[in-house]
Amino acid sequence: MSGIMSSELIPMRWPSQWRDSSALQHLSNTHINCLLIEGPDPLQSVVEQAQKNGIRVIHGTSELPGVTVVQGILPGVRLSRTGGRNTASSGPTGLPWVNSNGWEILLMAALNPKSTIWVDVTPKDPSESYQLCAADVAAFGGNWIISLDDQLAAGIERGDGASVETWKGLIESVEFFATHNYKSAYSGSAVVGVLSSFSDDNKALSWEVVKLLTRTTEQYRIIPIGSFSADSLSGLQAMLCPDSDPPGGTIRKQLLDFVQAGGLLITRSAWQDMPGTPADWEHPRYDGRVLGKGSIAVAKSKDAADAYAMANDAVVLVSHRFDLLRFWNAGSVSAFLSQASDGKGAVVQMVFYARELNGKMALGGPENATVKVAGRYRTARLLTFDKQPLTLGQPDDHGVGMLIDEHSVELHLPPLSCYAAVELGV
Amino acid sequence: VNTHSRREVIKAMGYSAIAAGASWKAPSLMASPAPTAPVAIGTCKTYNSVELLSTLDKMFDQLGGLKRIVNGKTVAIKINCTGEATWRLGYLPLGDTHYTSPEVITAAVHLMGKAGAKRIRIVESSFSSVPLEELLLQADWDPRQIASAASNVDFENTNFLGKGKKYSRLVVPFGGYLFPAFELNHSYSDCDVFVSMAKLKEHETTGFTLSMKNCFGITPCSIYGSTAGIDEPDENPRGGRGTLHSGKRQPSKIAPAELDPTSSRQDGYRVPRAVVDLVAARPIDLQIIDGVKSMSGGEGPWAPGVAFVQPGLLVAGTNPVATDAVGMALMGLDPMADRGSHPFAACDKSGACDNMLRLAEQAGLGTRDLNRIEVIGARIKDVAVNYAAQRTASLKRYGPLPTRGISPALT
Repeated sequence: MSGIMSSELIPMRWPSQWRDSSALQHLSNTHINCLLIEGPDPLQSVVEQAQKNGIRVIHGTSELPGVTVVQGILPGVRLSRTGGRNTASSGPTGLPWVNSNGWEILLMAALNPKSTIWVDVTPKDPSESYQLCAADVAAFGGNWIISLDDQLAAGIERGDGASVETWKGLIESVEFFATHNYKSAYSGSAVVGVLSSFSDDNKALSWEVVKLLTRTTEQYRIIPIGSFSADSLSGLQAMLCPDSDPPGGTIRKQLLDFVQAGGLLITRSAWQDMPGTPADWEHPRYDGRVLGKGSIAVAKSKDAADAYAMANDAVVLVSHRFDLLRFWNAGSVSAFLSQASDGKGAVVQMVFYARELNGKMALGGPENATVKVAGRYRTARLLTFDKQPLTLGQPDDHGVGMLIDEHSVELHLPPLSCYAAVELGV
Repeated sequence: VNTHSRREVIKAMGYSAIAAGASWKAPSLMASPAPTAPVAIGTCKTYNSVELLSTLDKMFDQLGGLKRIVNGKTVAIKINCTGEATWRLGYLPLGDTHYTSPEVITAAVHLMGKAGAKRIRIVESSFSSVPLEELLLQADWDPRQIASAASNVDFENTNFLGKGKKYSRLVVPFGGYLFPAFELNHSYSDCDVFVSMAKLKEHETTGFTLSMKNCFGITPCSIYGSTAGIDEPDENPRGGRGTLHSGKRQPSKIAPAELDPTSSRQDGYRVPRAVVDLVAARPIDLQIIDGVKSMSGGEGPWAPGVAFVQPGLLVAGTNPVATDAVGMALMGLDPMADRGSHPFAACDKSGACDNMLRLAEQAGLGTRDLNRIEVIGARIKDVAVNYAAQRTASLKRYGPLPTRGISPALT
């Protein structure tokens, strides 16, 4: 088993309550192939039996080269202190605030391109959605270090019905992602690129902007300045540069060439002396300039930038005309669109954190979400953790299915839980 | 009426009222009958552009011709895009249920351009300060389709100051039920002709929503919103119009406060009165109601028990009270009904509601009496749709169409 590459490992933290190697039976017929066994007591019998079963055992993630570990957060809608399950706290938009690890996985992957990203987060009690934990990480290309709360681990050992059901549901999601490795066959699509050093003085704002862009469902590409190349701009409509100081030399020239060719460049106020002529559009927070076929939006204020305003202004400055994904009735959703390397297909992965209406929240997915996907697709197959794949055809009157347009498809989705993927073909 | 001079008069009234410190007098019943005007009803089964153009063209001719109204004029068309653009009734496009259909807007714009409109501005106050075109794109419309239907077409989100340099104060000529005047986006005083393009819908709070209620949305949330600034407008507004709905707070201080802050805070009392005040302050020169496809049971997919309906109707007129009276009748509702009877008996949380048509009639804006309204084209009794019956049939056929996936049990 030691020959397995880090990227192929599916890790699980061995629960401290599972003291006997017989507990390994819970992992039989699953894709879990790596156990993280921590603590001073090495549980030698477990280690030996696991290794006999072909499972790699590690005692700390530092043992694994090529793995970057993110200390994650529990995904989901943040519930208010006083409210129950139907009450959620709101962010600046009035919409509920969603906790997700997706943005940090994308960021870490961009900063550590040769690494596999593992996310370390342990639910606090069995009521947490374990499937949501798995989906929130895997949809964005990361691996969750499967970690059970004490109560659930004990319940599984006891054979408690509810705990066993939760475990089965979790394993269902693990199996799904093990057998649908979109990360290896597809690459992310994007409308806007975010160019930054993502470090030092630029770290706080650039990280926050990426986090908030994720909440808009805008598809974006993270471009660390150190790895910028002409290819970084491929397929993009806009570049957002949250760093206070403009890059010089070659990068500046390539950005201006991008604008000349029709792109939009969004910058901080320090990016003065930009070429071009004043644009005829007005914006409360940006001065516009026209350069060639494209334009430049330079922030008016020299004050510290507001990450929320920057992310949301960027989406509007770019325009919803270029949306790759557009949702209706989806509740709180994160979405990740990626294209097949042969250009003949795509996959939309959707993570649903909550359904909501007028601020009233409920855990779970939507009953009748619609997503419109830009592109000339002709087939669509819906995949979920617990149901047979469903081919979406011409919808019946007001029903589930796919409407094909010249440049897009509109997918009318059935009731969903926390995750769904749609594989699109041309 | 010379609409160009009306534009000037509206503005002038605002400024002179400020100077005079506009005092309020309770509106009294009209001594003379409220004015009336013909209302045209057209049957139109689809949003096919050919069918729409021919139907609307004929209806405008029946009203005396569109040229008479818009030739050489700057026109503002207030469309109805209530709620967020990411809400649908089931899987249905927003224009088929609770938004004015983009096809109807496009057809009307085209006909206005042909009739000589100098400039046409599409206006709506979406729940933020994003450009209106972006809201339409989120709704899955292409604003270029509307913009290319005539020359000099543009868009403005009137939920804040927008492209103007200052707000326009429009005074309620009869003194107002709730407010003596309003501070509005410049688009509402810059136009010579104001068009309300509504949807043929019922409404949770006010019983129905047609051309008059559509004007509730001309108020900027920067001033009248729940998050509006106390002294100055908040030019990055969020949320709804709590100031007008529940009256828990007053508008930003640059706008005139309510006439009587001790009056009822009930939605069903306040909203109809605010609507009448608004329609008096910014008269509607032309009303167009899209009833080709719509929804019954409420104004948006968030209302419980709503259903898709296809009345196949268009309505147009030049007196908003008369036009809306006909619109009510076409939904199977009685425009002479009032608080305590359908559809004003059980309006959402507030319990009951006043009929805004009665209030408008009392303020002298127009008549709601169908006996005094000349209906041209289709006859009401031949084409009226029983919304309640259609809702029952639709729910039976399609089942409930929840929005955003929320189950009734969870609300």
